[in-house]
Amino acid sequence: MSNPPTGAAAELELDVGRLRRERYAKLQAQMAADGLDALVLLHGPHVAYATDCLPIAADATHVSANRPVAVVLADQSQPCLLGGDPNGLDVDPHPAVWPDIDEGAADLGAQLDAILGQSAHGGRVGIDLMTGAMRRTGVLSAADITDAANTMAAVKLHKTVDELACIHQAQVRTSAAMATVQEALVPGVRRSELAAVFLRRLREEGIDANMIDVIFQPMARRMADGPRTTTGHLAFPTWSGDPVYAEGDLIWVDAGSDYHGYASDFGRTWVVGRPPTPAEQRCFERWLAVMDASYEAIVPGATFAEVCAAATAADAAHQPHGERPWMPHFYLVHGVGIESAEMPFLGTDNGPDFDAANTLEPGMVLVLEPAIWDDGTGGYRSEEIVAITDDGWIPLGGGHPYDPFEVPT
Amino acid sequence: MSLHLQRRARAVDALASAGIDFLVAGRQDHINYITGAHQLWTAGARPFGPVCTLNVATGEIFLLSTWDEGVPDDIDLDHLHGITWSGAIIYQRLAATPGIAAAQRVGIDAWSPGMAGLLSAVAPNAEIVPADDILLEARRTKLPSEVDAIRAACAVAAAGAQAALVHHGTDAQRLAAGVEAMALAGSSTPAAEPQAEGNIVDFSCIRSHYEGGLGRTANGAPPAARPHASLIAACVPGATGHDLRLAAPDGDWLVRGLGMGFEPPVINSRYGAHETLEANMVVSVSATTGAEYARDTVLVTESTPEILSPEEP
Repeated sequence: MSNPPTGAAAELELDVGRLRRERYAKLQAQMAADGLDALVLLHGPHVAYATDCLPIAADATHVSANRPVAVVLADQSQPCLLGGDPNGLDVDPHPAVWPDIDEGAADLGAQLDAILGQSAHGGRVGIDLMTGAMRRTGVLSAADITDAANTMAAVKLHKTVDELACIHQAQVRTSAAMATVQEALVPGVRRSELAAVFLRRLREEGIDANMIDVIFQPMARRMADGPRTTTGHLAFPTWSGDPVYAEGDLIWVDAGSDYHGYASDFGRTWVVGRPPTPAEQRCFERWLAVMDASYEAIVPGATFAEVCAAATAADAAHQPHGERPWMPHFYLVHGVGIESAEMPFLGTDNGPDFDAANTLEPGMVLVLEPAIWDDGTGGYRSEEIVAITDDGWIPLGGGHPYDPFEVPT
Repeated sequence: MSLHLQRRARAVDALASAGIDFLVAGRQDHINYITGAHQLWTAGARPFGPVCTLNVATGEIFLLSTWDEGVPDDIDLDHLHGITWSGAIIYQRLAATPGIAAAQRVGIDAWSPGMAGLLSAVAPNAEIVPADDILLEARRTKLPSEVDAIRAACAVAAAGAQAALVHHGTDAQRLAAGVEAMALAGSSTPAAEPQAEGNIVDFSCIRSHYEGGLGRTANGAPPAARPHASLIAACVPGATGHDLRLAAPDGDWLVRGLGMGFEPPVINSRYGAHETLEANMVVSVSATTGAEYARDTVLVTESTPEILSPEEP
């Protein structure tokens, strides 16, 4: 069985200029393929993809109030950035706009008309979002509007080497912060104290963008004692207030932060103040077996269904009802990049036909997050990230220990 | 009546008055206002999707949540929709929602071409209209319990500002100390990005759905002489954006609504001249003059404005 994978990704080095050039070239090519004259982007990660103006890790209401807007014109050598901080970016800067209020949206409309020129009148324009104020003030009402989501999904599916470097860095730094948090996990500590350590340590690791309210969820040992769910299965990750942890509590950990606009995804299972019981350790070993089978199945050209089948077979002896070793509201695998969860998704409620029709391709990034549950004992869940290469995969981040669980020798 | 039901009643009244018979909400602040649900906080604005629906006539709510943890009892498990990754399932759920097929006016709080197509398919007779302004108008004046929640959030933000002000390290270290102190005081979720630059700090948080925040300059002027003092004094019922411009100091300034995060009105030297303040609105008031910056969270009252953020730091 496997220790957490380590290796090749440590050699990835972020070249910001190359990151920007390669993404912008992909965007231009995809716009041509989609027949777009212009892209107008308001969703923060999309703006970052086009301009490298990084999203702000603040409450949604603040982020949207005076959000930067990116405009990409076909065949133009650099994007327009409305608002944001253009210093050091390869962009054509324009004044800030406030798209959530009617006066600001009207300003945005006027700027877009000037930037788009003839394309604002009948041109094919992809846009990802409009605020109510933009609808009220008739922004781009004369353009042939289409959804930018498909264009963005296509460009971000396969990562460039610099995108891999960013995800790797995000994961390494999040893991380093979590190592300190785990030392602070003792009986009597509160969730807020662990969050405080995590947020301080993230900044000390050079990350100022924490993207999700960090999760240290105490798991009820029996599903029936936990929250009720629509699936009849586990509730995770939930809002859980500020619990005080006691010896023997089973804590499922989940965190995500951004490095240069790319997300980490840290998942581990911890036990408070004592080693795992033999039953808890057995859950971990089942989880390792599922991971090993998944790693084995992850090759370019494999269908999503083949990976799901391999993972399921590895735990089949423990599943009298044929259940799959992951939470039914989630997946065996999700992608990660400018979003904390993006394509590819393996084993979701998109169903078996979807999983059979889609294949792994070089440049995709996979977060494996199987979860094992033994009702009455509890369960085990961790996450690992790999990037598909031409002939297999490499780990991103990686090497974070599974303590207090022991990998069998 | 519990706070979230009082809020929901306001939202329902406002939507009904505007002739909207069905709401499809995707913005977390609107969803929190209507449902009172504690859902996991994530940074940044999400793409628009149907997270919560409200039948305005019947009050029936469906909420996207796989579990009932954090969901008030008035929304039953059979009115929760589990997380889905399938566009087909999103469509089926919306289409099956009682009242949507016959709706005449469907309100949405954001818009995307893809969602517009979906909504037209499930509500073929409806005009799809933006309703974010109607909800925000209903949210504009605060209930007493909302003011209490904002005051409590301000105290948490003050703990962060204090920690950053007394720390003698680099700006990055002061920010780290500030967010750590804020988490210990009760919030691990920022409202705006925390600031610590030289001797200026600004901290804010979301605590139990509500924002609080303040900004200070180390060794700055006493409260009555701070850059925003004249603006705070001008925050009285009936004051217009134009009045605030006359009261503003030279330099950057902003008066904007504050409640479940950033809210209208937005009043500065460019926007909001037509806005009018009313009693029970809460605003963030900030200004910079020379090298000094200050911000406070302020309740507009029938008499003098009440500063909800602590005087210290």
